Amino acid sequence: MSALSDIPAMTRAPGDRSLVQAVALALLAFGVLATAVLAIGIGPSAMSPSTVVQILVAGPKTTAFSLGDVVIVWQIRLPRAIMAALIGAMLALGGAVMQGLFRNPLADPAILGVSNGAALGAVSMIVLGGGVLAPVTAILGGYALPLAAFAGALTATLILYAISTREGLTSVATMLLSGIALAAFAAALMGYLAFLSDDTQLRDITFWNLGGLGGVTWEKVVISGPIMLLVLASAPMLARGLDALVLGEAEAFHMGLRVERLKRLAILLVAAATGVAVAVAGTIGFVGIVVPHLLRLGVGADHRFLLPASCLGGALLLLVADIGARLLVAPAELPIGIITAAIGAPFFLWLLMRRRDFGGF
Amino acid sequence: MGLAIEDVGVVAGGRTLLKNVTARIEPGTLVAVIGPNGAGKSTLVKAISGERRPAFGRVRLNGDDISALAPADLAARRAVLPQATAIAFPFTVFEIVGLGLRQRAGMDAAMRRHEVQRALAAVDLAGFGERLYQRLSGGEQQRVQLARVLCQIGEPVKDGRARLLILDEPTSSLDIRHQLAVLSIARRFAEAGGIVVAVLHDLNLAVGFSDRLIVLQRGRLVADAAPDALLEGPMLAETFGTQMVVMKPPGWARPAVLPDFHRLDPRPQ
Repeated sequence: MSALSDIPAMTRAPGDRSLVQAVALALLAFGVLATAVLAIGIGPSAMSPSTVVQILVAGPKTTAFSLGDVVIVWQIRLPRAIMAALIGAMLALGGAVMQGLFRNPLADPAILGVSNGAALGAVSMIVLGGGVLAPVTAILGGYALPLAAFAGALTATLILYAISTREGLTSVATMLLSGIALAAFAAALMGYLAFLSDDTQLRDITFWNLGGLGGVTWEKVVISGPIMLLVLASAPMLARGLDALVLGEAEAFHMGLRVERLKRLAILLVAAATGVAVAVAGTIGFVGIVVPHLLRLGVGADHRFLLPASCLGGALLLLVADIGARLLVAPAELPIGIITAAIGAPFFLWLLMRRRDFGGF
Repeated sequence: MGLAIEDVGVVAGGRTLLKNVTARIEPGTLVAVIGPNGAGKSTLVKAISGERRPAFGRVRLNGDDISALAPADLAARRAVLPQATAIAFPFTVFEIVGLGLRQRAGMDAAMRRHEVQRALAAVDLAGFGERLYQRLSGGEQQRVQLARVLCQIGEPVKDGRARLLILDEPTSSLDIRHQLAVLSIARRFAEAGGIVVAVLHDLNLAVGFSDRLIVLQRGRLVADAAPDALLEGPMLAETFGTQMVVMKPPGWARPAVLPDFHRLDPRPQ
């Protein structure tokens, strides 16, 4: 009798959301693939999803379709879709990891000046790459820009963490205010660099600063893609640690975590994800705050779920935003950052308004 | 065997927080740490949990210097219940308690689910698994954390070695019924062969549940004795700077302590 009554407890556990989370991951992955196919089909020369899939399956050298369609799919829209998905994944992952590190759902690389730090690094390379920093450009080539952006993001994250966290406790007010100061300082330096630059450099800065995926080619994918894949591959290492860190730094240590190592790894990952995304597409805001927050609210906050789901959700969001950027003012194109900010900023305000539901962050 | 605190001193920012603290706690013992505010109770908890490396002396658990153990090894042998734990993200009660099992190897999903539900039942929270942790009262959250800590520590004794359960003011947010319930759980852990160190403010709970009282004052250990022995002298009154009345109702095994309301000015009515 008692053995029988034990069975429900063994097979069903209220509050265990691991099955729901696995289903959500599968749905998100399917959503990313389907949206990518749609995104490749949409444009001045529209193609049905089935044509897109057939061209993709047939390969870049197929002669079964018109050369124009094959070139559009393989040389123009596929690298752009891949880049949109990867950058969305970087932005959302950077947000999720930063929120876990600061134990605060308002932490976001774009809001707290980390993206501006990355942008400052990138602009320095654009303006000074031919002058003072010429040796760096000579050695690093195409990697100079992403690395400079990474260095800027890392510096900003380290400063932010050092200022707002004392003895394992993060002050929300200090974090937000120091983020504002950091962003303003980086913007001032960027303004100075723009003042120094010649006409060509200024055009480069403006084009890059507006964000967007207009100039994406296979060459860009080949340079930044591996860095992004490395970031994606190292993210799962953080999941268990960030889950323990949810309870606090002392508690994470009590549970057996090497807390300092975990924090260093998280800071590196935030800087790498933000740096590479900014280097390719400029500063695109709010993806890092919207995607992880909706996932936590709807499906769960466990980082073993949240980190991969944020990557997929970010990819999905940026693919959709890129479709919007290309459709809304066709045949012209909106900078994608305008679309994410138009969705994200009101969302952020709504988040602040319902803060009291949680009894304060 | 047991927990050995050997001449431990802790210094922070030029201030001495603990000095020459020595005590030995045998397996199967519940020790309450008491003392006025600022006496160094929390610092002692940090030193014996391994969170703060002492400037002098050392802490040994079953012979091993705890500062030489890897965090994961230490976590398998001792667990700590903090004073209060606020979290910023929407985790369910089941998920929070399950965090306690993350470091334990050799358990499949069904065993983990079963362990979590057993721990929740032990802290009187059966049926709370689905609730969001953030929405619970402070007392309920504290019991969820105790369930998580019980999941982490597992059995009181493993391979002949006692495990250490540290409770840092575990009862401050609890109603009277759950104060007694939490300390009963700690008591059972000790009686099954484990070691419990509990920082307590309520002297009656300390006297009632502990085998021994350790009294701290200004960073020094000023007394280490059985509750009955300690209550006989002027020790407590001097340490806390308050006159106390000790009484022993007929049939009670342990005495009870009250502040001497009669001599207070103004006196409570």
